[in-house]
Amino acid sequence: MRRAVELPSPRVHFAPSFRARLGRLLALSASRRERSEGAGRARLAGGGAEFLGYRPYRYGEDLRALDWNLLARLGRPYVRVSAREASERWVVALDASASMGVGRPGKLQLAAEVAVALCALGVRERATVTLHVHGAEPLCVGRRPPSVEAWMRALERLAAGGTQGLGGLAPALARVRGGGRWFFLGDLLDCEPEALLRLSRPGRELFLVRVLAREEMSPAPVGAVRWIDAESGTALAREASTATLGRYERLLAERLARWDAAALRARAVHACWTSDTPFETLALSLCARMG
Amino acid sequence: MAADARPAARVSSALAWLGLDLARPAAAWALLLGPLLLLLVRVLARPPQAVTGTLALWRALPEARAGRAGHARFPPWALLAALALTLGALAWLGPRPRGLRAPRAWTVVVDRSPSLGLPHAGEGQGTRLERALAAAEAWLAGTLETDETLRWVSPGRAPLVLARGARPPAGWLACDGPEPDWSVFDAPGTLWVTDREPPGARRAAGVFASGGPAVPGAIALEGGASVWWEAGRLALRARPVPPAVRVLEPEGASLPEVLARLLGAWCAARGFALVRAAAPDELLEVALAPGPPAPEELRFGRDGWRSSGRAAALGPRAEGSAGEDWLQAVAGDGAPRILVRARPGRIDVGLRECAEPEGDPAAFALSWARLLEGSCRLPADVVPLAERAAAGAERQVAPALPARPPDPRAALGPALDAGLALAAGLAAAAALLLRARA
Repeated sequence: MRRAVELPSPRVHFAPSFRARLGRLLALSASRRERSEGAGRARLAGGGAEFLGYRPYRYGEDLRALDWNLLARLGRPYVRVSAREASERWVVALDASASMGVGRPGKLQLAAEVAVALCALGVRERATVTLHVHGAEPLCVGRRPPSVEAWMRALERLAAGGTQGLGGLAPALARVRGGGRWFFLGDLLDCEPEALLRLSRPGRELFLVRVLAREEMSPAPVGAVRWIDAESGTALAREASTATLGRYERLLAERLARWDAAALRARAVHACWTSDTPFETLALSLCARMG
Repeated sequence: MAADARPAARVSSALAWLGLDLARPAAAWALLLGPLLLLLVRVLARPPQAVTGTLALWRALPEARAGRAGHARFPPWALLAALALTLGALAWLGPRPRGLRAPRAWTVVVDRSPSLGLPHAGEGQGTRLERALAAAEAWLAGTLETDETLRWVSPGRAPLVLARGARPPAGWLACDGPEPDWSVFDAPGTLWVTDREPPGARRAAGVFASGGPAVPGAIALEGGASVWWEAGRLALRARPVPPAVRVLEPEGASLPEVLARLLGAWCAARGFALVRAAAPDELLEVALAPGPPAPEELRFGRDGWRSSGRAAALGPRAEGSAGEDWLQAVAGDGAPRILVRARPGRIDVGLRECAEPEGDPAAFALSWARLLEGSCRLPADVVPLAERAAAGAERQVAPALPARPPDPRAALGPALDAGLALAAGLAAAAALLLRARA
């Protein structure tokens, strides 16, 4: 049965306190980065004439840039970096399908907040960040802080809908060249891991950020429930008993484990969060995992 | 016209096997409210809806079967609310353990006049009395409670108290009595059993009249023959044997000669046989009191004649028995002496000696003739014309229910109602609380 589904949280709204929280996040991530990489922090840069410093080695990078002496001394791989005229590129792919409108707060809300946080983090790192959403032109921002505002306005105009999630966006993303860090923000329910992991390239970090609603992660035992698919409108009545919920959570865990294994093989990062997680927590976790 | 329905009595009798009586059985419909509420909850209950992106996982569950989750269990608040409604209905019904309600007083007044002994030539068989009794007993069976009894009364019979379903013996029901004075028995809980509805206003008693067409037959005696009424005409028909008057004399005693002569002449004039042994169609017994006569000579008389003689004691008349002390004398000690006692069908004579009457002999003869005529029964087949006439249509009118006498244990009934009502209230409060928190 297909019918129009009234989504719980289809829109994005940035609260007045969001910018202040974003500022605190940037400051916190900067201090953590200083502690982890030293005072002479290396600015993100590729190969070039001017030696700037060291930064941790990222999987897939050219081993010729690896500083073997530092490796012998510290036991951790670092590469020599040099300033270059071209900045690093980040790609943020956002799932805005109808299933992202589930949950209170909605999954799209958290994904949008994380997208803005990644945009701000990328701009601070002098990266060029491009936002890709199915059915919309990519939104690219450079180093100017006001660009973050443009992202926020664009995201507030979004509404969860349609059936094309990140799996549907993958073919378009395959034509995107470059990009050191790729972030996939969505529920990852419309595709298999291979659809996204095939976008892995040498020197490219993939971050698969799965956002699920609390009731999708751990449904409450409320007896009989009529579940409605957010995208197709198909309805299915099921008993949400303790035994049934146990089986459901096992199925979900198996699916997540399959994604974890695939991501591990592809040297990608896969993490799952509920939509009621503060965006700072998610963003800082991503920062910690960035090379 | 059928008797009034007694649905309250039918409900009560239907619950008798539970050992319960109901004070207000008309409220039985309220017991349906609880189940109706649960039915409504089942019909209206729909499982809550939730939008999800993981429907594929739900669909993949092993026990997937569409619609199974639709069979929602009843929520606790609904069960409590249904319980509250049921308890309230029970409080309204007013259940009482059997024996808490005092039995009511019921009376059946039986008309034993000769017309009731005539056959009911309508549908069915039996006499008019049997037909009327059957109708009354059928109504009583549906009305009386098992512990209630019936008081049977009829003029000329000692009252009987019998259990429900029991009938007086055939001898008690013999149709040889007078019609009752119905006005004396017009009260709630009283049933009149007769063949035709008595005229006049009736306040509370019920009537079970058999009705019935006219029954031709003998309506009077004429000498040794019967006057026969049929198709509106009268005819004389000889009787196979003449009616008899039996004289009962103890051994060694006999009626005074003057009385014996008069009795013989009266029988001859009426065409009756004077016998001293049992005979068919005995209309009258003239019994000489046993025992020796008292030595005192008494003077006695009535109706213009006087005489003297000795007499044996007749003894006191039984309380409530029919008949009269027809001839008395005052003894020397001032005590009355009963000399002749009469009732329908029997004359007891204590006189052993009776001198020739003084005064006009005709007065003596007339006085005794009236006694003999008045005491003489009619043969069983002779029924007066008025009795043989049609009794009209069958009619059944139920009586007003009698009031239930107060029972000192009756206070338990309101206490039971209050307890049930309190339990209903508590269940309702709990249901509301659960519903508010749901």
